[in-house]
Amino acid sequence: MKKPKIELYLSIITVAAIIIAWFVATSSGSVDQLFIPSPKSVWESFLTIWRDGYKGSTLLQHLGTSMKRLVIAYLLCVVTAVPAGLISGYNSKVRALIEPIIEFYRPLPPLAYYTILTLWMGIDEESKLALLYLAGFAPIYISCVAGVIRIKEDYINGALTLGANKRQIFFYVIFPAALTDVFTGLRTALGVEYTTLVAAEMVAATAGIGWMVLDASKYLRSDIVFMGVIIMGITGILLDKIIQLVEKQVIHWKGRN
Amino acid sequence: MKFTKIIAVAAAAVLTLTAFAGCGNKNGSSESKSDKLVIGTLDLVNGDLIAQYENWYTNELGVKVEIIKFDSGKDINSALASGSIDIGQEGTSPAALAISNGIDIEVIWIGDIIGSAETLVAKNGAGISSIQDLKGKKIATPFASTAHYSLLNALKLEGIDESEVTLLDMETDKINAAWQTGDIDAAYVWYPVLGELLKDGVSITDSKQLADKGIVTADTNVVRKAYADANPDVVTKFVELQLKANDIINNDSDKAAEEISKQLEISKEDAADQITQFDYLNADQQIEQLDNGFAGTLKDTADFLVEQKSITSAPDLKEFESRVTSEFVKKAAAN
Repeated sequence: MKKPKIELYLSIITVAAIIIAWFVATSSGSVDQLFIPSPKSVWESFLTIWRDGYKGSTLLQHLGTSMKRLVIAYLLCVVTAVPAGLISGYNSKVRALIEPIIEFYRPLPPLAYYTILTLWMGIDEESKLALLYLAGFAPIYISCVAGVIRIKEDYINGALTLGANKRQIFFYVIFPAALTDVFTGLRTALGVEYTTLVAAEMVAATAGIGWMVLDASKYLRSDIVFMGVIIMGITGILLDKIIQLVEKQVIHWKGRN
Repeated sequence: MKFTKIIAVAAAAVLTLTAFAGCGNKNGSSESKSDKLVIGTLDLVNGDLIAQYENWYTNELGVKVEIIKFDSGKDINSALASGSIDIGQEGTSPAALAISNGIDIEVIWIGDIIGSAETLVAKNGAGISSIQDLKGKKIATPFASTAHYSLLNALKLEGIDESEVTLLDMETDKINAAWQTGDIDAAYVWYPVLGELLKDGVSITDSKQLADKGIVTADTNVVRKAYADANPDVVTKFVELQLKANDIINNDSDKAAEEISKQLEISKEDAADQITQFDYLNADQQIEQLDNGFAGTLKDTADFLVEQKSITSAPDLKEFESRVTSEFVKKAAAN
């Protein structure tokens, strides 16, 4: 094990400072519970909802519903955007076909086209999944394209000299060489999808962690809102760690070119 | 030393955050007299629209006026809590929520008592002709609204458990879209979407029928207490304008329909029709309501929200009574 660096201590201090500030600010009683609920009331609302659930679903069901939406949309993204991106990077004609669509919708805020999606696909799961899918597709696609374009000509020429055909080059040279970028895209996509989740649960959801936060905010339940946001934050970090772990397993040569 | 530096940074962070947290604390603080009034409106079909059309707010209040349009009482509450607006329009449900959550407001005016202007509509062909038929169906309404409150009570009165239906939380424009695509079977909504749904649907019950059974919903104007304390004259004048507007609605409904239709950009017939679906109170009725029944209505609403587990607790009736005042109506009527 390496010795923890000073940076780790600094990060811990930031987190500790925020938590201490939270305690100090709320314990003096000068701050209204509506604006910043005390850590105690947030913890209590966590326990209550853990025990009794929130509006018909337990906390795990809320989280599970959201994760199910996220994971399904994400897997769809992975199996479509990665091949599409790699092929687009390899073949400029395919890229020319797909890129205009991506370039157009990528900068759009999801809420702007969510109304259209609900009109087309209804208010059930389909439109929510479609929204998350679209949110995740672009980042993966773009980094896959960039990953292939970045590959040194030498690698490909080298393989050609050794008698590799186009198919072999794609699978044995391009795919592994682009993997680092693919994973960057996968991580970004997960982050973008996760931030879109609340938007996806804004319309006609009856469960989901994002919905829970939105619903609680309607009733000015800041304690539940805080709790939900903290849970979402921690879950987000965990999801990112999982991708990083997978990346480490797959690209064991990372950083060694 | 490095560590003293780190501690200094941490201390600075704590102080900044605490100071930042302090910014949010608008409740309970006193304000000085303001030369401005920020009004939050929902464009509900009542005197507020007439006052807007006649430019009374800008011309007669004697202070600089800013009017901000909101979509729901929930957003009005947030704006009141943060001090972004001074007077806000909201239904009894958001008002009860605000008082239960300790937002420092006072109810100064009852804009209207909701009648059939909020209605539970079932889509033609969905096989719904009574509340009992709603079992197993999808019903949409904007949660935490007066319509939501009415819907839940309508179900409760018929002994239907919430788990026997699918309740969907949607803003009214989304309800309209979902209705057109056949995603929902029924909805409890207000105008203008209500008008759209009735073209292809039938009324199952409405807030007038519920009011007869004791489930009263109304739209109010609330003021931030700190603003009212510092600017009582402006608030009194505001209420005076509402009284003047209600006079027009109750005595010259043709003119009222004309003005409301122009303000909302709807047809005059629609406006005239909608006016008949609310009750508008004159000064005496306002004072009677504000002094007697209204705090109870808010208390009932809050208690119901507790029963729904939407909020943890509701304050006692005394607190609601202290949050409802006829003071400004009395002063305005005397002017």
